[in-house]
Amino acid sequence: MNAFRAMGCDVALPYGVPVGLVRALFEERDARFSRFRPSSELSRVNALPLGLTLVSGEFASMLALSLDAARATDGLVTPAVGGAIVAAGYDRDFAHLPQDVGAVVPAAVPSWHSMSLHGGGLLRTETVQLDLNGVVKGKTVDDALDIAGSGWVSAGGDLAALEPVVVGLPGGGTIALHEGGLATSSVAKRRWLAAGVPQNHLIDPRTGRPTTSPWRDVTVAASTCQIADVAAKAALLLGAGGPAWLDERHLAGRFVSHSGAVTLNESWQARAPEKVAA
Amino acid sequence: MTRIEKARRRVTVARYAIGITAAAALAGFAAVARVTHPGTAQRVATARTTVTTTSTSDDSNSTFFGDDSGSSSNIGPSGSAQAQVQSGAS
Repeated sequence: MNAFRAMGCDVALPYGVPVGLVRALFEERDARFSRFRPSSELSRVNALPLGLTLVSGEFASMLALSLDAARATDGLVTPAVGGAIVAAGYDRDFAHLPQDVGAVVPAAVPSWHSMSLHGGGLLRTETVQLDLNGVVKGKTVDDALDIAGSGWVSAGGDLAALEPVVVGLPGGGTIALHEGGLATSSVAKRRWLAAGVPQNHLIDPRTGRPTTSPWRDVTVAASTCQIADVAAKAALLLGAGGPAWLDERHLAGRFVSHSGAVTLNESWQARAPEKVAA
Repeated sequence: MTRIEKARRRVTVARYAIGITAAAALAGFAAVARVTHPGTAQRVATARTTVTTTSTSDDSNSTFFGDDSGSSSNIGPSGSAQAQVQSGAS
């Protein structure tokens, strides 16, 4: 198996695929969309967070996708969380974050309606710091699979596959992904403290604070990694309503609570039943 | 035509000329900025890219999830096979 590090996670793909091209794609996306690189286009866009800003075609395309995700999730997965995640203390590469960042003041998340794209022009009618992490990794995994042309691509365990692959699941167990996407949203990692209060990287835009969802990990299967990733984030944020929300969209979801208890929604149970501890 | 009328006419013409010049300058600036924007200049064609104009006015017609009803069939039991990759690893 080929592996390299990009976007703060391990990228893996089987032997026989053009790993150099895939790696170049991840590095190009990271260079453009990183919150932590002063030279990234995202950093330049966030430096002027109000009014009209000209953006590249690639940036506009990713932001359009992100706004589609916000629309499809009633604003739960939104690119407007950039200010709130910084306010929660996650203001640098996670590897350089102290264990306790000290006291923080939560920031309200602006409505995604305050942003609109007009070709290469991004118009923000209120101050919005962008964070496109909600879609960049999933979309890049899907695009990498297009480049690979066969096999599968995994970034931090978010997968897109053209042929069957056996995937280990959070909390134990495995699943066979025949084709399409599989993604896990988790608050088990990338956690830190703010004056002793636990924080995580998944901001709930309804509160502007890290989520307090009862779920630790949510895994979703979908036709693409990008759809699975967005759906997993939304389902985790929805808490108890997550399983039904996925079923309404015919998406299979597997939920692991903070105590390790596993819940399968109806769509998952129908396809891949597993013994679940009571 | 009195001198006052001539003066008024000159002022009107001058205003018109200034307006046209300003509009042309703005359009030229926008075009140059678009072309020289670093994000545009550094674009790397590495994957399919579609520029989309997004309207924020219609929340009810999202096609993001599309008809994903068949996608649940893309998973199944793995039997006793060992995992090749771990989901939620980082």
